[in-house]
Amino acid sequence: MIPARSRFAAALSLTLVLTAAALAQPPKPAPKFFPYPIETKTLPNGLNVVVIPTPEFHGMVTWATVVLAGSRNETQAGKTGLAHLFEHIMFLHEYDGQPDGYEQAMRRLGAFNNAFTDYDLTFYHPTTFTSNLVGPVQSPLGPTPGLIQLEASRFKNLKLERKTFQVEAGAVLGEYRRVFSDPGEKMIEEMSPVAFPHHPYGHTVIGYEKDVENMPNAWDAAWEFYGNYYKPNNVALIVVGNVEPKAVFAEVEKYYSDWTPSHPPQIPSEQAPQGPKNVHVNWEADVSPRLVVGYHTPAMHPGSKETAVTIVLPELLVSRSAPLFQKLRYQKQTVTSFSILDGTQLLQSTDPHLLLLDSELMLDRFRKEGQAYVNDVQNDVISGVDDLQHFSQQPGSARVLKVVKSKVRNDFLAGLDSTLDIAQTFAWFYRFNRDPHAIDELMQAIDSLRPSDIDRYAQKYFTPQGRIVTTLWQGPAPDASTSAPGVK
Amino acid sequence: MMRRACLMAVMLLLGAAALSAQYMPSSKHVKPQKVHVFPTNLVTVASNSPLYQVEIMVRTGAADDPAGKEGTANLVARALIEGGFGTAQAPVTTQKLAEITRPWGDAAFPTVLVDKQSTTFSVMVPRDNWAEYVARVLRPMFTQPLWLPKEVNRLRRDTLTDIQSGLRFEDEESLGLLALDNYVFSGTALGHLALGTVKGLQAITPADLNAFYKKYYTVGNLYVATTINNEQDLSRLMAALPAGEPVYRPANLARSVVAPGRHLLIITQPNAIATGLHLGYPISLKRSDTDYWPLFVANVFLGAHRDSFGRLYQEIREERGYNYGDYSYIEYQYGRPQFQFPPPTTPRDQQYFSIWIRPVGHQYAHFILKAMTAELDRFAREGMTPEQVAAAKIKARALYLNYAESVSRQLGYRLDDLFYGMRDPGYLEQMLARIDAVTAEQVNAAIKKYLQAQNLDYVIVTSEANGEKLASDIAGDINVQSKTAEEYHIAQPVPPDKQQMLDQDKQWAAYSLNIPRANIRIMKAADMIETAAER
Repeated sequence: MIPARSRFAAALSLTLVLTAAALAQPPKPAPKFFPYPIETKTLPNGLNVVVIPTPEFHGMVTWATVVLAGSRNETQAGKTGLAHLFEHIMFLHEYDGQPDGYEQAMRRLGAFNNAFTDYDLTFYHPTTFTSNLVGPVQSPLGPTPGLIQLEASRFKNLKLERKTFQVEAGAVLGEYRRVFSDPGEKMIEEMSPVAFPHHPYGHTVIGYEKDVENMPNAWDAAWEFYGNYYKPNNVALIVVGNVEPKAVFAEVEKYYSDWTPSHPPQIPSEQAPQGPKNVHVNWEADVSPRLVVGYHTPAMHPGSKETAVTIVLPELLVSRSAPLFQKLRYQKQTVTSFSILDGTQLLQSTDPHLLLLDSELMLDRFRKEGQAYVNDVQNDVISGVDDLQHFSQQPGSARVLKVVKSKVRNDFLAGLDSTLDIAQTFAWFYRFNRDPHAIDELMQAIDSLRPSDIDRYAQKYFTPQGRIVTTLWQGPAPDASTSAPGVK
Repeated sequence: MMRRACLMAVMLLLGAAALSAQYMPSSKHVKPQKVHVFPTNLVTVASNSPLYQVEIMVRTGAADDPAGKEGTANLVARALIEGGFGTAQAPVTTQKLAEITRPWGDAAFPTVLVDKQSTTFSVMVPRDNWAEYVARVLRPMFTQPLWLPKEVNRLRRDTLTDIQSGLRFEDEESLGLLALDNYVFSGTALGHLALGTVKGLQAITPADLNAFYKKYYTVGNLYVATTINNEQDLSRLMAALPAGEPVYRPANLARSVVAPGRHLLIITQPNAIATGLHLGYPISLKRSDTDYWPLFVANVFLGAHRDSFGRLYQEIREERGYNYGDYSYIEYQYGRPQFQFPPPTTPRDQQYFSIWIRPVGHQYAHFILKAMTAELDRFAREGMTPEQVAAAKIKARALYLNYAESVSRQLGYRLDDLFYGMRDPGYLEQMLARIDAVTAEQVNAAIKKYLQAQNLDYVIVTSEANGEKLASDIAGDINVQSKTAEEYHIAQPVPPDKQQMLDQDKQWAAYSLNIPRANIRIMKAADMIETAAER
């Protein structure tokens, strides 16, 4: 299922999309929750610019570029992992025709420069002194263009040699091997194609191993990806720091206006889940067994009730105070940890994705009791999740929800502790609908939640059809005849 | 590396200018925000956040542990939070504390960092709930500890597990780093682990905890840094702290001098798959000294932490591929394997210079031990060129962007400033201007004054199978193995830059360590941190 808004946008001509974007921006009530002012501007080529002045971070700025494309946008078979590859090669830009020119110029400026890739976006976030934004900057190592000019150059007009590309593509394989020495990541890799046979969420962000191995040969596909997504209509600048918004807008117009928009391809939609499904990973080392009970969850639309529930779910299921957590960890002591696999990365997605409840089991008990032990934990997890279908009828549910709302708000505020944290948190919610007030709308929706909203969400999504269970241990999959009830 | 792993979770909710000259603040004037320094031990930093941040540094730590009861400072701090407080009839236990603080967010549950001379508590609490927080948590926590035996025993058990299992056998890098931190200070109050020792922890009674708490936890003996800017809320905070006079005295560090010659502690783990190498020696340098920033710049050049910029990294990892990273330090740095930038709030009266070589293949350990020493020796003798100083200054000032990135870090540095007596300007406030003012002459003078390679303490962490052989190889100056040209993937004929590298290898291999067997001690990891006397 693809959210209506994305399908709508993708189907329309560029002009209409830009108009829609323009219409979506004006008057909104002033932010009430997000503690900083938000100034926005959209260039005629579709580039969204958001400036968040934070004067208390004196002389510092995070100049973040959000490319609204991640592994979700890798639609070509055999070419997974390209979004992440760009996260690497964007740093190898031959600025001014010089090999390594971009990195050398950044070194002359002095910056903390990094990036990350996710399913739905790629986030580039140099942090530097505000005095480095506009050049020429007089560095002891020679005059250097300003950071805005350098960033515009690599996003508008990336240049690199095929050989440089190949070497870096080879380095990604090393990263793949490191990431997949983690059993949890391997479980996600194996369950994803089963959960999403059509949608690109069927592969992980880093891509399939064989695609990563073949990446040095993906030169043409990489440029096609860049041509589709590294375009102003698919990018937002999030500028957080001790800056003057008007001056930022003027410089952005100067350096980004000649960037031409594109027509990004459509993302394949996914059918309704056909669960329950089971996946087993046979791990080569004798590690603690893992049991991940997953459910298909809806796409994020900040402001909607469903998204508000998605945000509070972890508190109701895996927090120290959650009944299910207490049952597994304290009362029955059947698991050594109970959490959401990969944090909230999958749960908070542009298209419908997964809630993954991850139990780490005890090796000695597994050796003694085998499958019966796993079944016991699995039944507890499933029934704990099922309990949310009647959340409103549980004693004290209104009080619990009130505490959870307060905790979510305060955790959110506590996370806004640096220009980078602010930029990252803002971008994470902005990207769903390019709505600068998404965080406030999200918080309003959370404030308005009632216990019965939890019931409705659980009844709709926590069904056997929506369930996918993944196990990992050393050895073969459990025998179907001994599986837990209700699971095939 | 510059780029972060793609799958690193974006921590969110749960889990986890100007552009023309007149708008543009000159970087010379970049400073952390306005702070108010009160005549007492309190500093406030302005913040727009609806949450108050409070950090309280008690001027005590492992250096004040009674002999034979190492771990008291640590256990006191943890038990104040999780050992029960309030009244015996209705004690606030860990679980109760979690329930009370839950609506105020995860950061309202107090955390503490215990080091050798400081113990720092941190909380973040919504402004609107501050009065309630003080009444229900902060005041009873600091003034009515109960030292509930069940809870204290749980904390003791957890700490023992951290030492006996975690540190000894599951984290080779931390074991080496912390062992060096003790080794260079052996025989002084700074010579044992901040967590404590196994025997010490086992010997501590609730009465010991109470005596330690009574002596050191007084409002006169602590520093407070906070974003609270409302007088009534500030008074609430200060009134919640236990009354009393200052008791802090500089630790007795008389024996913390550079021991003549080179000494080596080899720690062996049953199945270490690679060998980690460390060296260090005490230096009498404080942040307020004029030589501090020149030596800071020099150290960035030699071994910037977790960065590809430093020379040690360039030569050992980047050019030769022996390991994952190679760094140097002019201060103790907490949590090194994890944190990319030094967390504040571990100030000390005595610092040491150190080099950390992350694990290399066992067969190369002797060679790399020579290489790290030879490189330090060369650096101490040759110093830096003006061009190298210029590049290192840019890198050094860019570190400000991370050191000062968050309000919580700014508060932490303010506490350090109070400890070091650097009220105005503080460390972060002076960082950029002082780095900008550093000259190549100052850098080379500081290198000459503080860096040397003759009197060194080494710690090596290796496998049990390898320990004895490594000791005799080093003592006998035999079996020095570097990678071959083939292992370096060098094509034939050897290109000039690679030939230069191979020549450098030969020089390193020929460098004389001169560590007699009598100066080498071998200890099993299982025996480490058992008691305070380890030299």
